[in-house]
Amino acid sequence: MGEERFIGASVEREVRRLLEQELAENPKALSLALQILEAYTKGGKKGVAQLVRSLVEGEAGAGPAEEPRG
Amino acid sequence: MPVLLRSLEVEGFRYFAGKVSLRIDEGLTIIVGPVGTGKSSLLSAISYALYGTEPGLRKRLYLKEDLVNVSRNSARVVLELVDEKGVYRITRTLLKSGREDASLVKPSGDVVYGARAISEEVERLLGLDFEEFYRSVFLNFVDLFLLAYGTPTRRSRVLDRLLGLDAVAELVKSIPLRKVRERLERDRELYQQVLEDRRKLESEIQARTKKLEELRKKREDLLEQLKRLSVEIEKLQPLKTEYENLASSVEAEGQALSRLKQALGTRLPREEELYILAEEVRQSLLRAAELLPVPSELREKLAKLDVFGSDIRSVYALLREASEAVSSEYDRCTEDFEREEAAKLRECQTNLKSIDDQLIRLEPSVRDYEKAQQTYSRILREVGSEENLRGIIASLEREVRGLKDRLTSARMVSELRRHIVDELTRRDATQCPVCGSRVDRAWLKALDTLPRESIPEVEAELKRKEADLEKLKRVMEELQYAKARMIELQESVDAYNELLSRKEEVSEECDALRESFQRERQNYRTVELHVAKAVKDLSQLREGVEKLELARKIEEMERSLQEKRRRLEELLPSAQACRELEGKASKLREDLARIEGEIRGLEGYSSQAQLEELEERSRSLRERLARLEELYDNLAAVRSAYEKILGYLREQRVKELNEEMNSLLKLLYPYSDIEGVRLLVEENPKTGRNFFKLEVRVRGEWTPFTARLSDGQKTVIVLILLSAFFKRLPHNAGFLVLDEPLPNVDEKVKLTFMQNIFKAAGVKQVLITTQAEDVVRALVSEIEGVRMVSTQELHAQA
Repeated sequence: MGEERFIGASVEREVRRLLEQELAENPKALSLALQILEAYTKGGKKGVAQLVRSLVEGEAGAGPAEEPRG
Repeated sequence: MPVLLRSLEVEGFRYFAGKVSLRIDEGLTIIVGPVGTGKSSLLSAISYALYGTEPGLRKRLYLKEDLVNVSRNSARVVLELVDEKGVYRITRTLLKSGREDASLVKPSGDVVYGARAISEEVERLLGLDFEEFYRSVFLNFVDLFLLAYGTPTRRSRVLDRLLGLDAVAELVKSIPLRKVRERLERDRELYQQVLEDRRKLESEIQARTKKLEELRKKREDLLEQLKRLSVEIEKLQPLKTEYENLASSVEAEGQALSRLKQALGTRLPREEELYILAEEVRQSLLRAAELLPVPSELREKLAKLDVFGSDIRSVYALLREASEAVSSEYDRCTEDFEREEAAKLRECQTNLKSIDDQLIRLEPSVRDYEKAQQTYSRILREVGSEENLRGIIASLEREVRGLKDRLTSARMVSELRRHIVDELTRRDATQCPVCGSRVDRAWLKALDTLPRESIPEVEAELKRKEADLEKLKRVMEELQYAKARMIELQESVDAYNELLSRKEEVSEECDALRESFQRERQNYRTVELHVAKAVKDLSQLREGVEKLELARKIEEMERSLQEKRRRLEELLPSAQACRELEGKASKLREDLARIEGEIRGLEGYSSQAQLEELEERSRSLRERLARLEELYDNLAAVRSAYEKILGYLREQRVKELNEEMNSLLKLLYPYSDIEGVRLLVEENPKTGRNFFKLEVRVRGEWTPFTARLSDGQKTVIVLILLSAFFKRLPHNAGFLVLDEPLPNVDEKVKLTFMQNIFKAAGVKQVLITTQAEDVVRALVSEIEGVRMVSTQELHAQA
């Protein structure tokens, strides 16, 4: 196991796949959903709160989310 | 081949202070022991060796350094795993300070160092991360208890965790949609406020522009009015100036006239009186001039002056001039007199004083001289003369010497007689010690008949004579001293007498001078009286003349004032008109200044910057609102998607689990009263959230598993559920770890569970902890392949 994870690797993979299906027609929402997934995996609730706060404030660090993997 | 456990070695880890080794073979290994003997510590050591963490640490029930036994400074765990490639040896060392060292020796002999690298290797090897390992391989009593006896909410939470969906549920909850909405609403309000502010500001600017135009027009009107007034004022100004100058002149002259009248008083002297007074002045001055050494011209001028035949003012001027000359001469003469005569008198008095001082100094000597003279005269009167006194003294001295001789002889004769008498009292005759002749008693009788000198008489005579001699000698000394003193003081007495004569002369001189001085002074006093009278009369004359002058001047001024007042009356209407116009102009100028101030204020006030700022703010807010609205919409879509995915995953997992559970029920539960088991996902109508519902079918009817089942049946159903989880999860672990899984089931259930768990879960190795040692011993005797490990024995081994 590497650094602390807040969501299991297999569940993360499955959720990512389902998000790509569910939000296929809304790329911006998908991008945001993947950003949130990554933030939660690494930082839990605090990670998500920090991400959303930075998006609300329009900070530079909260740019467009990375493209969905695979 | 799946990965199996091979051996475990712990030292200084949790309950195990010493070194403990445990071999784990295929089949069932049951770790038994009372509470607090370290059963769970061994399972915890397996988890820590594999992933560097364990359930308690993950739940933050304690810190990593708390894993070190309290009596040790470090903990060491060695776990061996085996698969088709060979043995993997994991060693982890943990210091009390929290520092860790870890190594993994692979079957190939390669060594992996570092906690993170080893954990990644284990994840790859087992196909499970810690979360997955913990919910599927490492089944613990807490989860069993919460599933069997917890509330539906708690059960759902545990099931979510076991399904690996708790994190997804938490993720859904963590999306702060409400906060973003609130922020959005706040920003919308703020934006509306800014728009409102801008509208207000624009209205204000419009109103200000209108007001400015009105003020400018007003200013033009005022300037025009002022111009017209200025022309009219210009015409009237000279008359008004003349009026004002004249008015102030009249006022000043009126005041001056009033003062002059006051100075003049009520009585105006007659001219005849003044002539008489002038004549008196002339007379006084003339008398004084005759007594003073004034120039003869002045005396003649005064004598010839015809007072009554001249103008009184020229008479006064001439008399004043003469008075000044006479006064000046008088002052000069008195000053000279005072200076010269007084100096002479002072000098004479000083001489007299000096003589007096000398006399005073000589007086003691004179008194001494007189005293000595008296003494000398008195002695001479007593003794006649000095030679006579000397003769008496010499005679007395001779008598004293004779008496002294007589006294000596008498004393010697007496002594001789006493000696001879003494001798003759002892014998009849003796020898005279003086002449050596024989002496007897008869001779003695004859001797007594001879006359004898009386010693006391002689002594008395001698004493008297000596006293007289002494007295005369003292008189002689006194006489000689008085004589010597007189000679010594004679010079001072002569000087004294001479000074007395001189004093008499000087005193007479002083008296003469003083008499002369008094006489002269009397003369000057007479002059002074004339001069003083002249000055006084002259002053009266001056006053009279001045008053006559003043009366003439007042008359002239009154005439002039009358003329000026007439002119003032002529100028008054023009001056009043001019003043009124000036008042109007002043008022207009004040209004103009006020209006110009307002115009400057309005022109200087720039609303443009404020308007631009508001526009910038509204633009910025509009952009932010757009961003937030987009973010909110996307977040809502994301949350909705996550909720859908969570529901889908739950349903999916439940469907798979239900199939697996019913298959395991048949294998692991030895009775037929429970016909089926199922897990349902239902929605809470209040919260709109999904929750799990576990039901069993008994006699063809589905009921909640908590309603009909005994505690043991619940435990079995839960174990079946957990086993189903383990089986459904793709992984490479060939072992199952169960921490206190069967606390309350009968032996048959236990036996059935133990016999079939391998098949049901599809594993080769099961590790179980329990406190029920008796049951385990029975199991060991009945079931093959079961190995019991006692924690007490392990402690003994350490």
